[in-house]
Amino acid sequence: MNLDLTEDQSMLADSIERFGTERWPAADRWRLLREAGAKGVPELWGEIAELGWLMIPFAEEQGGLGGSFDDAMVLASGIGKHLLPVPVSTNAVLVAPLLKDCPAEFLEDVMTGKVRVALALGDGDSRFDHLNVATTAERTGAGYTLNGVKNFVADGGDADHFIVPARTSGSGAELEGISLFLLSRESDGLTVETYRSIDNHRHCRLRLSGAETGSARLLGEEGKGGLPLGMAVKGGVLAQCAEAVGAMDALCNLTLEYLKTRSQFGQPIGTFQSLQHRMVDMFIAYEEAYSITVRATLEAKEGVMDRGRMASAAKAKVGQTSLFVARQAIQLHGGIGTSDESVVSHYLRRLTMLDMALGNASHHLQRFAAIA
Amino acid sequence: MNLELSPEDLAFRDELREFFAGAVRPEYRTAIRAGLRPTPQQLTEWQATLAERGWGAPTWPKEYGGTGWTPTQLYIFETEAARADAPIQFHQGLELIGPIIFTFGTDDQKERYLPRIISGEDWWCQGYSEPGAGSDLAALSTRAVRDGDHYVINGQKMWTSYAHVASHMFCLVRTSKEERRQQGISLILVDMNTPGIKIRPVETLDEKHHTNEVFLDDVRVPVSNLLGEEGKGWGYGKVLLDRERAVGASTALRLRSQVDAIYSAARRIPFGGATLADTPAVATQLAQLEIEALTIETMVMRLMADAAAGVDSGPRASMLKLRWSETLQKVTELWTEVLGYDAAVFEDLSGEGVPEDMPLALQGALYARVTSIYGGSSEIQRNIIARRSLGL
Ligand SMILES: Cc1cc2nc3c(=O)[nH]c(=O)nc-3n(C[C@H](O)[C@H](O)[C@H](O)COP(=O)(O)OP(=O)(O)OC[C@H]3O[C@@H](n4cnc5c(N)ncnc54)[C@H](O)[C@@H]3O)c2cc1C
Repeated sequence: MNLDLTEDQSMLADSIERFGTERWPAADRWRLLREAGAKGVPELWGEIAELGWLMIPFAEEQGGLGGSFDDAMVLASGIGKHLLPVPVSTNAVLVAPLLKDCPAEFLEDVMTGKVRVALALGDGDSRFDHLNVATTAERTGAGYTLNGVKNFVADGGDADHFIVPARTSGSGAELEGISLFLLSRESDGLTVETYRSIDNHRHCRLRLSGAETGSARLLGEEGKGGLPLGMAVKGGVLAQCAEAVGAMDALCNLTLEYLKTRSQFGQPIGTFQSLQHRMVDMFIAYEEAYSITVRATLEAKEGVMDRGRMASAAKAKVGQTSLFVARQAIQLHGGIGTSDESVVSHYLRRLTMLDMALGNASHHLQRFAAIA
Repeated sequence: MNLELSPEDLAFRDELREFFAGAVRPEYRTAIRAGLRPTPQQLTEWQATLAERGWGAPTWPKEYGGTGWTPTQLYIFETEAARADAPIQFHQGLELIGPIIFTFGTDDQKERYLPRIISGEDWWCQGYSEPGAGSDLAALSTRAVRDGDHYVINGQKMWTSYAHVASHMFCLVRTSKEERRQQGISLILVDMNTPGIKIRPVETLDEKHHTNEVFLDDVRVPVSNLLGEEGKGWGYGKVLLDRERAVGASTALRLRSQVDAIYSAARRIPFGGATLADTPAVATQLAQLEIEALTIETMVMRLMADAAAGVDSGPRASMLKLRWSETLQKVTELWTEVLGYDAAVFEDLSGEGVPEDMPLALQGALYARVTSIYGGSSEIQRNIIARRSLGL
């Protein structure tokens, strides 16, 4: 057993640390986002691609760096720590395994950041059950015709292509009969409604009414997309847990610093015992979140087949502990923690959305119970 | 002991119910149920509507233009207002400074200010907190120096909510340096049009502009705007403690309709052949919150009973504030959770509209974080209970 980072992983962590500190300093986040305005900061995606980070979740056969779960964890947690507005967990980790049979040039475009791909979730009434697919795909001529609504395309706001799970047979949450399609944003019969969430991530809703796709756009085998979809979501869940853990790390430390520097009643507020205990609970929460995330990540890496039970345990626990930490970080900062200018409130907003994406803590708690 | 209302109280309740049914604009409902305030314009309109009916100052004595209602009547009023999703009257003029003016102010101050608070023509903001003086308010350093018939004020106020729409600010300033920090503090009424006042907006985490920083640079205020005696400002704050009961009651009684709002949202969402409200996980969470709301409502009744009997409520107002803010946070969090992926739609970027109760539910959940910080943080409330009531 060895829970330490490898040398390569330490180097990766250092390089994210440098990039975060220099290119996207937490204290300037508010100003940087203001200056960027409605278009966001799409240029960051190209910059991190240049650093090779987008190759990490892709397998070597695809021209990537191996696609190992623990490398993705290191990457995502660095991004979460610095609140970098780059949707690596979704536009890279989540989609990478689903793109494995795509042509080499396309994969290269994805890894160099020229082309962005997002996974379409939130099918009709399915809520967080991603295998509950109601969107249909009917064979027509050389390809398929798709009909349905995808309410949440995670970080799909700026995507050029969407991976759309649709039923070629079966119904409800049956694994059999789910097929995965790669659809260009420009496809006929596809309406894309873009929206922004409170953490400044940009998502979209897809309305598919007779959207057509050539058969070349089918990813993998017809009707066999359920299993890979489940596996991909698991990877995405783990990356999001890591992102949240990184954010918790930053929050604990900056709150600790604040307790030592802010004075009221003639003394640093960190001398008040009620705040000391709260701060300790925050560090314990971080320790817990880190622990369960590492465990779920390493079990996934070792190929333990548990139908995603451990990943659900991590998502539930991380959702609970990260929101506790973020809310307490604000509380201990007092008024300043509630301001838009303070990065503390940005962490709460991001963690609220990270908890929701790919299923919130109560969803994963129920899922964990159901798999037992 | 009994909970029954007298025939007169019942008649009063029916009168209120009828009034609210006609006067409350349904478009405020979602925001109010999310624990959010309507806009300042809407609040001013609402204040004027109540004033026209003679109910502009429900907690004030008759001689100052109030209703002179008994605590029971006040409880009925707030209950009916909650039931109708009426806006909560903005409290800084009505509950914070108004009562200080009618208790300690000069006749001239009473005549000038009180009627316009009731009519909604004036909007008062509270200039107490400063960058270095939050929980420790006595650390405030904004100074007022006497110069002939004027005070000249210099300093900075922080978190001055609605300063950007206010006509007046009641301001705690230091007029002399004394041994005890609580001494030498004065309460001064400032016209916001006075030269030397600069306002900088401070947006909160819900991306809204409620609050501000206010810079005071050689602001000259007539000496007649001093409230009560110079150097005694700290003591006037104490009269506020009683008023907290009223503020607490008006907000805490809203919890039940806020829980209802989640219930309606959950019932609109199809899930597993039924609705989300039918799932055991959501149903039990809603039940828990309704129990919290009922308990808190009853705590309000006890406060009102104390007031009716003219007895000291001890720590009850602090207890109420603590439980209300924590419960409001849970309620708004659950609402957001119930919305599922819809909660991601904070702002539409392609002109397609946002889901019915978004982004208000999430705005409510974020803004609710403020409630355990302002008006005495949860930690400070617990300190007060421990020290003043439990003798610890
Ligand atoms: C949105 C908003 C609106 C506001 N509106 C107004 C307004 O209109 N007018 C106005 O005057 N003020 C207003 N306030 C200010 C509010 O009253 C202060 O934020 C509050 O008093 C806390 O002060 P602080 O922010 O300086 O936090 P601090 O006092 O610095 O507190 C930081 C942390 O330390 C804790 N702490 C401090 N002292 C102790 C202690 N002795 N023991 C244990 N814990 C302690 C606090 O509980 C908190 O967790 C507003 C604040 C906000 C956020």
